[in-house]
Amino acid sequence: MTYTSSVRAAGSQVWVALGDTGGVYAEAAEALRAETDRSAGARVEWRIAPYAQFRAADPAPRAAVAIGSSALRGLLDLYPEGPPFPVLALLVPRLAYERMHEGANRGGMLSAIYLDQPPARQIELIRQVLPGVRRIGALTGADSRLAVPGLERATSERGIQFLHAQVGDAGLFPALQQLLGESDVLLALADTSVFNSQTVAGILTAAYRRQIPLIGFSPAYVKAGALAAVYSTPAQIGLRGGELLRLVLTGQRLPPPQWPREFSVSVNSNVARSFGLTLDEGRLTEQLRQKERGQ
Amino acid sequence: MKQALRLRMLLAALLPVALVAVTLTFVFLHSHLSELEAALNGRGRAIARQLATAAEFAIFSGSEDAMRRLAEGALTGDGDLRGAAIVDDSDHVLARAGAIHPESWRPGAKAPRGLLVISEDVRRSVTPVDDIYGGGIGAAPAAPPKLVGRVVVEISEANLVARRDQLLAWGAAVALLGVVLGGWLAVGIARGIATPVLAITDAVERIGNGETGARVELRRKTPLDSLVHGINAMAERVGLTQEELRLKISEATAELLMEKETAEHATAAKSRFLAAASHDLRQPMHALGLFVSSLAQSSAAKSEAHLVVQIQSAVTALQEMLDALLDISRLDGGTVIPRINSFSLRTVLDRMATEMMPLAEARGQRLRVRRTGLWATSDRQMIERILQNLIGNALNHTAPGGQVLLACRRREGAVLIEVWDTGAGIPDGARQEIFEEYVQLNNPERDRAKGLGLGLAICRRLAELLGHPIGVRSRVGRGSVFWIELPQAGEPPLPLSPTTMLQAKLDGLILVVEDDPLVADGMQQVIGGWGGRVVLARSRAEALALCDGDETPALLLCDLTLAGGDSGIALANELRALHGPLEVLLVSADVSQEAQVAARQAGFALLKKPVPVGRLRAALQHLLK
Repeated sequence: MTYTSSVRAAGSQVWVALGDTGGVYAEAAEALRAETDRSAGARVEWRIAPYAQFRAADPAPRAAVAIGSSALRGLLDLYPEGPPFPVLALLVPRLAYERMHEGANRGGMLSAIYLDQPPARQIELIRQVLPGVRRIGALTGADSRLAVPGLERATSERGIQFLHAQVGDAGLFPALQQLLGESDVLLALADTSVFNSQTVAGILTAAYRRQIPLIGFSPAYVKAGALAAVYSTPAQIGLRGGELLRLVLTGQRLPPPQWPREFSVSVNSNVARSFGLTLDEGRLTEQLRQKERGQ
Repeated sequence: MKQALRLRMLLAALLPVALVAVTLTFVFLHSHLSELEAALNGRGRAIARQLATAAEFAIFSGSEDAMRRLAEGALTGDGDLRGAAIVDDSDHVLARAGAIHPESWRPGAKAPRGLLVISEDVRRSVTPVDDIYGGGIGAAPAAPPKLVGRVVVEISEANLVARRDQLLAWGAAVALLGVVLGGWLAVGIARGIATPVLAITDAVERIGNGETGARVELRRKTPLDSLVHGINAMAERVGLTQEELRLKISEATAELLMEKETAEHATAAKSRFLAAASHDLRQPMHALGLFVSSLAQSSAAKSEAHLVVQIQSAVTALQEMLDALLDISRLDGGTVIPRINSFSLRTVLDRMATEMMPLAEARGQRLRVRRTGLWATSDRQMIERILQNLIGNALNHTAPGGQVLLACRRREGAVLIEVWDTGAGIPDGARQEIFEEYVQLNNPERDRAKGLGLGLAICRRLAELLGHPIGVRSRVGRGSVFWIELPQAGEPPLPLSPTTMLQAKLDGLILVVEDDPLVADGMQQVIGGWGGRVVLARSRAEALALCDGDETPALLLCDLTLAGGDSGIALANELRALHGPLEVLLVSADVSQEAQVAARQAGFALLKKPVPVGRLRAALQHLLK
C-alpha cells in the first residue's frame, strides 16, 4: 500500500505502520496523510501498511508514523538500536507508550500523541456534567493504578476528593461495592483487567442501583450506559499527527509526547435523563475547550 | 340374511362416523395437549430465561440474598412452579427456593416423573467496550459471553396431567356422543335403506314363489320409493297376466272336467243299468232254475223228459249269458280285485275238462287235455273263467267231429295255457277285433246259441286285470290257438284235497228267510226234494218267532238283505246269540266286492243268485255234515 503524492522530494518517504487493518487505524492514517499533504511544501512518498510488512532491510524512510501500540512495538522491534529515523506514535495509550520507551524523547527521534485524555480534562468534564460533585471514585487495576497520581493532582486542584479502589483477589465486586458506597461519581479508567466487555454491564448495573453515574472514556461506554465520556477520535489524533509530521518533514525535531489536543464529548441522553440531567455534547465540548484555553 | 344386511348397512354408515369422531377427537386432543405441554414448557423456559437474566447481576455481584429473592420471586405467582435454583458455573448451588431435586440438575440426568426440569445458562452479558480506548485492538471480535452459572427451574406436571385427564374424559365423552349420534343416524339410514330393500327382497321372493299378489308395502317414505313403486307395478302386471292365464286354464279345465264327468256319468249309468238289469233278472232266473230242477224230479217230467232237458238247457244258457253280462259289468265297474295264489295247472285243466266235456260230447266234438305238472301264480278263479270262455269259444267255432286241445307249455319263466281248435280260423285283420264286445265272426245272424260274443271280451278284461298277456294265432281253414301267459310258480305247494261231495240226504231243519214267495216256494220244493226239512220265514221278525219254537233250525239260508232292509248277517248273529250254534248260508244277487267282503268277515258262506242247484246242494250238504 504505497501512496505517492504529487510533490515528490528525494528521501521524503514516510512509512505509516498500521497496528491492524481496522477502521480506526485507517481513519487516523487518512487524517494524517490529508493533513500532511495539505500543508507540506514537499512531495511525500507514503508507504502505509500493516506494521508487519515493514522490514529493517527496507530503505530507511524520511520518517515513520506508528498507529497503535502494536505497530509501535513492531516498528521499534525492527531496529534493536532504535530506528534511524524519527518515529511518531499515534493512538497509543500513555501508559503503553511509557512502558515501551520509558517516556524518553530520544532526542526528538520518538514522540507520541496519546490516545487517552489528560486527567484534568476528565475531571473538568465531570465538573461540567455534575457541578456539585464532591467525590470521584475510580476502580483501578495493575495498569490503571499508575494513573492515580495524575488524577489525584487534578482533583485536589479542584477541591474534589478522589477515591480509588484496587481490584484484588477477592474480585471486582467487593471493591466496586466499597467505592460505590463512598463516591458521587465513578470514573472508568482504561484497564482491561478491570473494565472489559464482560464486566462493564455488571459495573454499570451496580452503579445504577446506587444511583451513581459512570463517566467513561470512549463512545462505547456512553453507548453501554455511561453518562458521558471525553475522548479524541482517530481523525482528530491523525490530524494532530499530520501537524507534527510536517515539523519533521520540514527538518524540525519532534516535540515531546503529548495529550491529544482535539477531543470530543459524548453524552448518553437517556442516562442523563434518568439522573435528571440535561446535557448537550456540543456545549460541553465547547465549555471544556474554553476552559483549557483559559488555563 | 336380514341381519347381515342390516349389520352391513349399519357398519357402512357407522364406521366412517365413528372413525371421524374418534379421529377428530384424538387429533384435537392431541394438538390441545401438545399446546398445553408446549405452553407449560414455554412458560417454564420463559421463567428460567427471565430468572437467568435477572440472576446475571446477582451472580456478578455474588449476592446470595439477591439470588434467593430472585428464586423465590420466580416461584410466586405460578402454581405449577415447584422450585427454582441458581447454581454457579461449577454447579455449586448459590440459591434455591421451593422443592427442587438437585439430582435432576445434572446434565443428562432424567427428570423425575411428573416434573419438567428446565435449565437455562446464565451468561455474562457482553458490552462492546474493548476498542482501542479500552485497551483492545479495535476491530477484534468481542469475546463470547462467559458462562457464569445456570438457573434450574422445576415445573410440576401435575396440573398438566390433571388437565390432560380431564380433556381425555371430555374427549372420550365427545367421541362417544359423536359415535352415538352417528350410530343413531346410521341406524336411521340403515333402516331407511335396509327396510325397503328387505321388503323388496321379500316381495320379490314371494312373487318368485308364485304369490303374484305380493306387494312391497312400506308405511313410511324412503329413498327407494321409486324402486318400490316400479316393483309393485311390475308385480301387478305379472299378476294380471298370470291371473288371465290361470283363468283361461281353469276355464279349459272346467270344460274338460265337465266333459269327463259327462262321459264318466254316461259310462257309470250304463254300468249301473247293466248291473241293475242283470240283478233284476237274477231273481226270476233263480226261481226258474229251482222250478225246472223240481220239475225234473217230479213224476210229470217222466212223460216229457226231453222237454224238461231242453228247458234245463235253455235255462243254463240263460244263466250263462246273464253271468257273462254280469261279469262284464263288474269288470267295467272296477270292483273286482284279483286274489293271487299259486296253483296246479293240472287241477285247473282237469276241472275244465270235466266241466266242458259234456258240452263237447253233446256237440260231437273231442275235448282233449294234455297232462301237465306245471304250476302258475294267478287268480285261479279268474283263470278258470278265462279258460271256460276260451274253451266255450273253441267249441263254438269247431264243427262237429272236430277237436279242441287244452295244453300248457313253458316259455321263458312263464306258462302258456293254449286252447287249440280245428275251426275255420281267424283272418289277420280280425285278430284284434275279436276281443271286443259283441264281436262274433261267422255269426252275422247273431245266433244266440253261439253266445253273446262277450266271451273273449271278458277274457281280455280279466287278462288285463291280472296283467297277463293274452293272444291268438290262427291259420284260416286250419284252426286257431288262443293262449294266455301266466307267471310260472316256483315251489309247488301241497295240493288241497278236494272235498268229496256225498250224495246223501240232508239232515237237519233249514230255516229259509225269503220275502219273494216265488223263490221261497222254489227253495222249499228243491230242498224238500233232497230230503231236507224247511221252515219258511218272510222277514227277520218271523224268523225270530219261528226259532222260539220246539225245534231250533240247524241252518239259516237267507239273502244278504232281508225284507225291510234288515241285514242277513245281523239276523244270523242274532240267532246264534239267542239259540247257540247255527250254520249260515247267504245268497245274494249283490255281486259287489263289498257284499263278498262283508260275508267273508262275518265268516259265512255266500252264494250268488241265481244259485246253480248243484252248488246249493253241495253247500247245504257241506254245512249240515
